Amino acid sequence: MQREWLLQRNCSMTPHRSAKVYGCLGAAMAVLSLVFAWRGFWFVSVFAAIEMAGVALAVRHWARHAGDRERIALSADCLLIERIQAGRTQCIRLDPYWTSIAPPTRRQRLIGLASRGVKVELGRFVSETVRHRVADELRSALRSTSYLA
Amino acid sequence: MSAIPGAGSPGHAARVEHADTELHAHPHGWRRWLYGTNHKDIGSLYLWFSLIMFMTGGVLALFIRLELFQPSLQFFQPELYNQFVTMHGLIMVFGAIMPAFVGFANWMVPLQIGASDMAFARMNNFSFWLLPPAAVMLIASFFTSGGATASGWTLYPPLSLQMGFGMDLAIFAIHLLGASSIMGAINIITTILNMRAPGMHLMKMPMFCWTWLITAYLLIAVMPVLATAVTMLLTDRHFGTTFFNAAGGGDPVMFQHIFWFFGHPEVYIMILPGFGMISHIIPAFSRKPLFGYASMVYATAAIAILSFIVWAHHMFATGMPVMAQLFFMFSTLLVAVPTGVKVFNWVATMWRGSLTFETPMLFAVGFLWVFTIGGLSGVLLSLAPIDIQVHDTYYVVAHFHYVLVAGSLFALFAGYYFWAPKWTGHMYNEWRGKFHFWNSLVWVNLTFFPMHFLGLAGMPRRYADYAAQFTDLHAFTSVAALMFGLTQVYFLFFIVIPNIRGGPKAAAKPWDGAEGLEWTVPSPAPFHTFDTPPLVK
Repeated sequence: MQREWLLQRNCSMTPHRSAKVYGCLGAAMAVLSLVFAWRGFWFVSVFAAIEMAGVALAVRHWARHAGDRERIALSADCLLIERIQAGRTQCIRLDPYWTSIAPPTRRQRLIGLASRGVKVELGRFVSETVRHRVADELRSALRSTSYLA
Repeated sequence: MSAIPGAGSPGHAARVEHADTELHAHPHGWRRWLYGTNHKDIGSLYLWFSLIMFMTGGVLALFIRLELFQPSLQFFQPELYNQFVTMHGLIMVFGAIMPAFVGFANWMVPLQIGASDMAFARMNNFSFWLLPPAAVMLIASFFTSGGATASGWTLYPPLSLQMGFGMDLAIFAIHLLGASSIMGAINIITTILNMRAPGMHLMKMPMFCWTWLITAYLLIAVMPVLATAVTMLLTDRHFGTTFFNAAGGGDPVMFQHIFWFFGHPEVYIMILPGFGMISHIIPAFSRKPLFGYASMVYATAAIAILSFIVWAHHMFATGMPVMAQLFFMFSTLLVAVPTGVKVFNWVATMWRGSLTFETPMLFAVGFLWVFTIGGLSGVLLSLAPIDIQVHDTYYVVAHFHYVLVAGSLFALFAGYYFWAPKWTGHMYNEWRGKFHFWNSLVWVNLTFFPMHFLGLAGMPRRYADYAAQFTDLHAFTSVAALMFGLTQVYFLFFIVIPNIRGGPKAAAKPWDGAEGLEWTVPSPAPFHTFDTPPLVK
């Protein structure tokens, strides 16, 4: 029997739509800056460029991380952790019989997994409450796996 | 498969959790306020800041009314009087009204869209903490040699080029306030677009979020223009440029164009979020959904777009070609159409509703009435032949105070009474709320309505002295202004502070007809809300 958890942040806007929104705003600001520059007030372009750079950073940050997620799949002989962050995928396989779990604490904010020298931290895309819930569910699932063995 | 939050696997209605447990230990004492990133704490900081600035600006207003109580110079020299007028405007616009709406946005936007916090929580903290230094600069400018800037809040050259160090402080303060506004706008746009709960499409979004989204776009669009205007003033003053100095080939009227290209959208920045609040309160106390939701959204967007093509109606008296006068006159008149749509929809929402008149509704209906008076005097002022007659008179002062005090401020009060139970966990004293409303309504009208007559009779604005013919109306207005000010002191000490300290316990949803995610969390809203985004159906 396999159990899975999907930990992902809530993002209600696709990167494509974010780019569209930024494009519209950028185009409006470009027109505005050009009109003022044409009238000799190029200062507007400078401030608009600084501001739009700030907006771009904000939009890019959310667009890059819109699809970030962690998938935890527990089967009888494998605990698979698949992490997609900023478009990069990382897969880690742990032995469920040898995996210990450390729930979040004040010092360590993420869920810690350790198995035969491999340490993994989980839950960066979800809130603290959810991390605790997942840690509890994962711990009991790991226990039942070891009983089955 | 357990799909955890936000996340959503289809058909999995995420649980709404509002645990405020040890797991969520958060800073206490002064660290909570200085380093805090929680949207509710930062919202409270904004609201307290704006209340303090509102009181400060109010004291300056009373100094103005004190001087105008009798003709001839009574207490202050004209230079100091003009400093009061200027700082009253700057403090109220940038220190009181704008931060108050940002405070509401911080508190309510995440709660209304089902988000756990703002998108950039640390930037949120930083954007608030830029405000106090800016306020200190503004107020400290009174104590510099030459005093505070006395050029009016519009900072027109050549006066603003001739002022002392106080003008430089004002310019720096405006830069800080502008940077804060831009960061706030970026945060609000990112939060609303990216952090809505699953199922909350844009056209399902609460009106307050819609109006704030559009306001944030306006802020992004116009803040560089304001920064430009004041930076060019600074370089003209200290670095030898002559952008606005006619003696060096510059054009002081161009400053007015730049300023009002910022300034008119700024007027809508100060009222659109208020429209959003009223659009929640009227349906709640009419026990009916908002009439014409989609048209409200489009009307808000239309007002925002039109705000970019009307700026020169502030400048009819500076001289411009007849075609330009006609263009700006008609484009300004167009604003009345989407505004009329809004007023119609609010009235239609109340039509045959099951109305009750608790304090938030009283302020909302009061807003509807007095804001419409301000809107109608605005229609008259948009007509170039009339504007040239009453330009820079008390008619204009009456108009924009009806829009900003009776409009924005009443909307803020309505919003406070509506959402304060959610913030504090206590119901305010209804009798005191109504006392506050009726006094505010009476005194605001007695203060500002006579100003129409003063203006039509030729009383110019920004004058410390006046002809004896205006004495009675000025004396009357001064007494009414004092009473309006005392009413707001009553609001602080007999409503706000007691409401924080205690009172009857508020239910999660204290108003029968209220709709929205904010009412699904307990009152007071826990420190952490919507750790798991709710599913909106």
